[in-house]
Amino acid sequence: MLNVGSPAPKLTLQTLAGEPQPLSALYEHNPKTLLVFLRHLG
Amino acid sequence: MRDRKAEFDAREISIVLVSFASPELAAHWQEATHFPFPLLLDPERRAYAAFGLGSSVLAAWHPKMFLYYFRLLAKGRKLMPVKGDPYQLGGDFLIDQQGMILLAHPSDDPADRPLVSEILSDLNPFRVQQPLSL
Repeated sequence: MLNVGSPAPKLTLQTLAGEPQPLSALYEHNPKTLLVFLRHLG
Repeated sequence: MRDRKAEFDAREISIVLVSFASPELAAHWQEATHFPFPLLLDPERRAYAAFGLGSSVLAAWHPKMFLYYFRLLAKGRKLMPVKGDPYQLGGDFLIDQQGMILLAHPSDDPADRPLVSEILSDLNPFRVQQPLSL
């Protein structure tokens, strides 16, 4: 379980085109990043 | 969230959506919904697991979910057929530029989401961000 103050896990997501997208590349280039994990699409 | 995008922009918060859907379904959904946020994929749900997001049959069928969907329909929201695991839970996590978690809100049920004001208030520099310890 991640809590406030924990480091974000090091992992890689994918773009819709199938390109790898490291999570760190998201937050390192923005002052704050809100990750919204969706349920099923619908 | 979409309606309050300007408030997030003003506070330099970038919103990124994550889904476990297939690329084809995700592209269709993005085109249909016009959500103004980037959508990334985690088809094997490694990120979901790493952030502690599980699945729950009981939570998905909780009676309050019927009220939740009724309210969505009353607002004119068009519901799409469920595609994918209906029991996977979501969550919201605010991360700073150094990769530290500022806000963690794993959903207890499908309707459990943090208030926008709660997310924005966590940016108050005078607010204690970590649990107090003795």
